[in-house]
Amino acid sequence: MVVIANSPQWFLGVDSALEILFFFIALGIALFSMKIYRYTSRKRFLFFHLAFLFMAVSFLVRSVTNLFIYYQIKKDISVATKLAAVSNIYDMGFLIHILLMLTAYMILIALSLELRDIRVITLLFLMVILAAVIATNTYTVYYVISVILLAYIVNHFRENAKKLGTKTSKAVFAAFSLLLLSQGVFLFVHMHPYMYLLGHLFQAMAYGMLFIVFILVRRL
Amino acid sequence: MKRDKLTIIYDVLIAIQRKEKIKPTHLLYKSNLSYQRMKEYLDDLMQKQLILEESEKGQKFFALTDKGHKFLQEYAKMREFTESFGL
Repeated sequence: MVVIANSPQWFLGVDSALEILFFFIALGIALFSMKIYRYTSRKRFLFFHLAFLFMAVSFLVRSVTNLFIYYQIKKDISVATKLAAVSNIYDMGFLIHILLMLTAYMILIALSLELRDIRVITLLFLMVILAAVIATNTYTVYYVISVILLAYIVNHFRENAKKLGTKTSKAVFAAFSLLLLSQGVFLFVHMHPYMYLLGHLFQAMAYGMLFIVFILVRRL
Repeated sequence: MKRDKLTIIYDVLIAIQRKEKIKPTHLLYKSNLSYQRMKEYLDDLMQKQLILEESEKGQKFFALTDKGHKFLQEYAKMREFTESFGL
């Protein structure tokens, strides 16, 4: 049997379903931010919208790619054909996923650190993207960079939650902390099949928390 | 404390809503903006169709549009959202 991810077999497909849920949650946040941008014309809200839109599309690409692969390996074709096709599609899907996700994180970094100089932003962006794409082990490098970027983002949300002390600001901080934890867990996927599941569990808790924030805000 | 753009828009719109129709001089006093900044905001709000300009007996007034009323209903949500994410 072809193993796409070092995951329990029963979890293949469930991961795609979770990623579709993450897609909808990120899309909801992106659309609400766009609404504020339309009223205020402040670029911060446009960039925040773009960050979450990139996250949403990133999850959609990952989910669709994975579902396609799971479907393909279940079909009755030769193992060699399966391996070649699956490998190319998986690589392409993963590459698009990481490019979109790293772009989203970079936008959040620029907003968190209030970076305004476009030269600094493009330099950081190019270094991050190139490091991830050129690396021989794209998977590991992507998760290492994600952990570093998310650590800075989490610090911003920690300071914000400390300043405001509101339920929603604390929940955003908790959500991004869980997201950081999930990326750290994904780094060790090769050690045990259940690390892949655990990573998704933390990620689901993070996006669940963001969903709660979104609902609390919408119900005001 | 410096007000952000979302708060200034709210202050301008709520001042208009409280009076239904408001004269520019009264709005200038209520919004706590300089004449130049208030003019910029009013032009922007009219362009976004949140307010409209009316004329009555040669006197200029500003009133809220439906979209302006909707903004005020949504303001608390937008404020909570921007604060939660530290925007």
